[in-house]
Amino acid sequence: MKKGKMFLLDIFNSLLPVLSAFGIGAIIIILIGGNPLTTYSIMFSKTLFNWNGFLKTLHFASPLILTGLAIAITFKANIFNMGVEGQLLVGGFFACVVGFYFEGLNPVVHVILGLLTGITCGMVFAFIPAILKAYFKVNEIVVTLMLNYAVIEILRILTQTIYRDPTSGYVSTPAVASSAMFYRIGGTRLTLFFPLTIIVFVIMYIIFKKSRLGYEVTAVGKNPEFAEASGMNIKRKIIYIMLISGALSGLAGAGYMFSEKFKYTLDFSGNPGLGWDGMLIALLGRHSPIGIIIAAIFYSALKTGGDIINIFTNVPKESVGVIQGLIILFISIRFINQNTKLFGNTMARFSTTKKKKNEEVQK
Amino acid sequence: MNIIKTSNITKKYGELIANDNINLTFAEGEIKAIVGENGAGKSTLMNMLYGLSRPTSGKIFIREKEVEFFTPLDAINAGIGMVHQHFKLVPSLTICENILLGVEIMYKGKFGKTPFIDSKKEYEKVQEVTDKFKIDLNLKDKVEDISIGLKQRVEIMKMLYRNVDILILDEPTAVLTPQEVDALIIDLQELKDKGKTIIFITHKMSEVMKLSDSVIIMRRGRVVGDVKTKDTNEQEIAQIMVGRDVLLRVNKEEIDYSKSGVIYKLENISTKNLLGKEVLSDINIEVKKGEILGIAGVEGNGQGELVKILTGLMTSTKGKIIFNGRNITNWWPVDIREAGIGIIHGDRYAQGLCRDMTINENIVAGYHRKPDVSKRGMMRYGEIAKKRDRLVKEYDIRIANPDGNVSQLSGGNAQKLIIAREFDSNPKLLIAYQPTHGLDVGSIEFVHNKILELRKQGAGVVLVSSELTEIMSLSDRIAVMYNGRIIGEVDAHKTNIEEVGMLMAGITNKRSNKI
Amino acid sequence: MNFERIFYIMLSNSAPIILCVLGGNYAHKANVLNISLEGMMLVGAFASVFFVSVTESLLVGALVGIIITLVFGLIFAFMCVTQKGNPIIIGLAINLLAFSITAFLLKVLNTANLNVNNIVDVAGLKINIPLIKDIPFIGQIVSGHPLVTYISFIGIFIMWVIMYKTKFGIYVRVVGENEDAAYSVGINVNKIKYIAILIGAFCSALAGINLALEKMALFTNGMTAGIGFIALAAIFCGRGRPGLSSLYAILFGLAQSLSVNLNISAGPVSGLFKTLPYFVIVIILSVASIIQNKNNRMRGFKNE
Repeated sequence: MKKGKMFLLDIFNSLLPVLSAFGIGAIIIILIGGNPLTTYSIMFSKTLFNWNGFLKTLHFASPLILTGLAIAITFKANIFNMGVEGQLLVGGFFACVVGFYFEGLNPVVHVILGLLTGITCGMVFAFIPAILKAYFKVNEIVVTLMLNYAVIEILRILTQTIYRDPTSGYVSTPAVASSAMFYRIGGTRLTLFFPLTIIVFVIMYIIFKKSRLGYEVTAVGKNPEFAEASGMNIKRKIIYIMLISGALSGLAGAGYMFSEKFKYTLDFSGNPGLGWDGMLIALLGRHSPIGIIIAAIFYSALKTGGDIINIFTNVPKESVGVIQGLIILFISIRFINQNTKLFGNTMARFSTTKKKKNEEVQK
Repeated sequence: MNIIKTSNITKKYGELIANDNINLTFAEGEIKAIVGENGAGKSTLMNMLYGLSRPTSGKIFIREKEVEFFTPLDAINAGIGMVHQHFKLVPSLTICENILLGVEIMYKGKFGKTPFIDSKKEYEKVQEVTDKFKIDLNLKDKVEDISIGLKQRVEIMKMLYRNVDILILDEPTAVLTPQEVDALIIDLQELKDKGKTIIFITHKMSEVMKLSDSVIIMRRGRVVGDVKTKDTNEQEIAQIMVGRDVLLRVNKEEIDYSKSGVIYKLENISTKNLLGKEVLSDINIEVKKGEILGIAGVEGNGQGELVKILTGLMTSTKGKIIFNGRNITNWWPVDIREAGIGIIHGDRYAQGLCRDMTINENIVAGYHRKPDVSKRGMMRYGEIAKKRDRLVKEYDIRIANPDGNVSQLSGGNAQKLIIAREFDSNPKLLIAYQPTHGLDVGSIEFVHNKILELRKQGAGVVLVSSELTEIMSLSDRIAVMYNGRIIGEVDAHKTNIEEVGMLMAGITNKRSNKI
Repeated sequence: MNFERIFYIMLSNSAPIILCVLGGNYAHKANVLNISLEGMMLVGAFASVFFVSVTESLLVGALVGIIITLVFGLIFAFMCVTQKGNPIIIGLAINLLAFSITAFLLKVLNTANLNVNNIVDVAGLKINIPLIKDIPFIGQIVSGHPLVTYISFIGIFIMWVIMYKTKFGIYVRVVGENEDAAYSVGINVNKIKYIAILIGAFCSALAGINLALEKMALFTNGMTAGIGFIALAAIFCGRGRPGLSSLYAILFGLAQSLSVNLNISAGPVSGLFKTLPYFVIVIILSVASIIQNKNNRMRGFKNE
């Protein structure tokens, strides 16, 4: 099958769940007395076709690109890192600590210090499930999932005790110093975080397409027996991938902290959480790197658009969450196995009916 | 009356003919053995008798009535039961519960059946059947706690409880210890006395002679022999099984090894499988420079495990491997390759290649750390493409799309790719496992010639294959594996196919081999 | 420290966990990874409270709540078993959907929470068992819980009977341990998986009813607060056995109640108790994996 055709099929396979979800979303909107067409058009026109809105979309897309990447690269190795959310929170939290702990530092130094802290924390947190999987073959899905909840709780305790901001009315840490905030480009909402994400993205792309590590990880994901027989140290690769994933998540958290939130609160990552948003993005765009960027921007538009529609219509922004859930639900069907061919569900059904017909003819 | 009769049974998988016009009869109350090498078609045939697959053409008659089996339940209803090599038991359930799987006995309340299982009645009924056939089992034990021999008994009991008259056993002794084999033989004879018909698939000659009344020999999907056991002997069966094909004679020069050094040595290599059973015992072999050592044997006698150990995919429990004077025991694959050993794996698509990766990516697998392939962590895809072009030309590999995936290649060309890759690194030792499996004649000839070239250059070769003709035509010396040991070693130039065939069947020329 | 109070709360908190565990055990034993217990419990909670407010009948509201949760269970089963989708992602989707749909509906109804205290008398739902309530110490702990709490504890025994003494229980274990064996004796594997998932949905619904309707007669966003995941941890630790996993559920319930109670005296650090279940499960999974792999001489990392 030619590459062009495969590419179109990829897009189709990602587009179909999205359109179906929007379809059902439209029905729901109608049921509550809204107009889906105007709702959707407001949602996207103000976030994609309006200059300020678009910049805002890009701004919020930054952490999403990183979390999407974080999960997508583990998919490549047939690993499910469900702990991206936790790694992001840890990264964001400790970056915040660095942010308010030091004062009067050179802004560039301060930001870099905070980002590095975030990256390191994300890596440390991803290290435990990595070791457990590599050396003891423990299922990383359950472990990362559980550690997420543990870490959310621990961070909450830290926020309520040691790192609490006594002046704040709600549970929060102190805000980071102004030297720890990303420079805003041209007075817009967009910060240097966005170009940073793009740079990181390009680096990851190069690593995966051109480096030996990328080569080995691809082999591990597609055929672990072959990888082992070809002399690749699978244990080490698993650890590397998880560490990189953790680093990306930590960076996402730290960057988000320094570009948007500036303090750690109990809803830092929003609902359902940037990590889970990343899961959606990775699923939508997993077959091509550009796909991830597009999915991230699209999803950011969806989210920021959701906030806006509340103002212009009486459709609540929670409807975005519903659409998000539906997208994930519909996309789950074809995501059976990393290595399966890219035919959607309808095609598979086609071939079984054909087989049955043949068997009947043979009788 | 013939209890089973097959009439022109054929089974095709696409182009591959697994069973070719099989006409057989099975007499009631008889124990019949079915022998043949791997891929001969024995299991395929039995699977059709048990309803696990349907014939492409042909008919099956049970008690002279034509039958069609769609599922194993149909076969069981017709009185045929099968005990597979891989047991279909549920570990956490008791023996009794396993036997009654699917046919549980429920409490009968005032209004009819309740959903509760009547354990007491279940034990009674099963105990009746085990007593009847004098099979010794403690019904309350959990299956996960019992030995393999007992597990097999449970599987047999499962079938007997369902009143089968015909019992098919697929390689029943493959997983048993010698004592368990003796116990099984007694059990089967007991069943015969009770009027059951027994069919068992095996590749062990001694079992055939001890247990069966008649034996069918299959080769390449056809029945090539159907004799009464008392009219034949082990040697004859082995000969028919192995066949008298024309040897593919290749040009092999005679080389004098008396002065050559030993390049590769195995000392007392042993290992165990996942269940703790010893599958390799004290393997001792030596390969000299420029020598091809062929390791022959019927599939399943430990060759797979041996190759896994030699290629670093499995560890040994004891013993040493010495290559060029260095102790490389239990080294990892990457280091083995780096030491200068080339590897052709048994399953080209499982271990040798990755179908979903490009030809470029595959052609450097295993050697991807070498400086001409990658430098400072980055792959040199330009250089790799050049290497690919060179090798494609040198080894005449037919490719439609040079940048495409390996999945586009035919089996023969895929194997050529592997050979190109391994040979290009100038290995001092080559380990080749089933190197021509599934290839056409032209490709086989190519592979053989390449191996001989390597030999001429002074490299050593360990050739592990179940194709006897391949072993005979290429090897300088032949070691035969049986039951996890080297049962005998011969000089290839001074032996003949019959002698090797007998060793493969477990027959040493001193006395008849006890299992 | 009022011990009676602590243990009373422990039993009370454990009930929803135990219910989720009892239901989730079946999917676990059938080898279906169902992480959507949290979402289903949330749906049960919301639907039951909502329909009580609509129909003004406790019983009807609860019943409809259960039915709606079963629908969600059906969706999960359909996507996972029939369409052979990836259970993790589907579970995730259901959790997200549950959360966002309930939040959406609350917004549409224009309330911050759904309160039916005018219809349901929470105090009146508590059952004060006649003789037992007068026993010193134990009486205060055991008596005075709403109906579903008692159902959950009785349920441990019921589920044990179903799992080990009925045909269905055996079939669930067969499907989970050796699907080949199930096919070979004609067991309808898909049907068993469907039922296992639906039982999980049913029990999660009960858990939601217990949590929202019975104890508080109101619903707020995300009130399940991770109980479904603690239940998951208990299921894994107890390996799907009703008795053992319920024990873990009670242990985790104790941890939760300690974290709430010690809060007053020891401060927010008591929240560490809440993390207990998660660390326990990681340790247990690791140990189990180590034991399983100790005989493995193969180096291969075959696809799981």
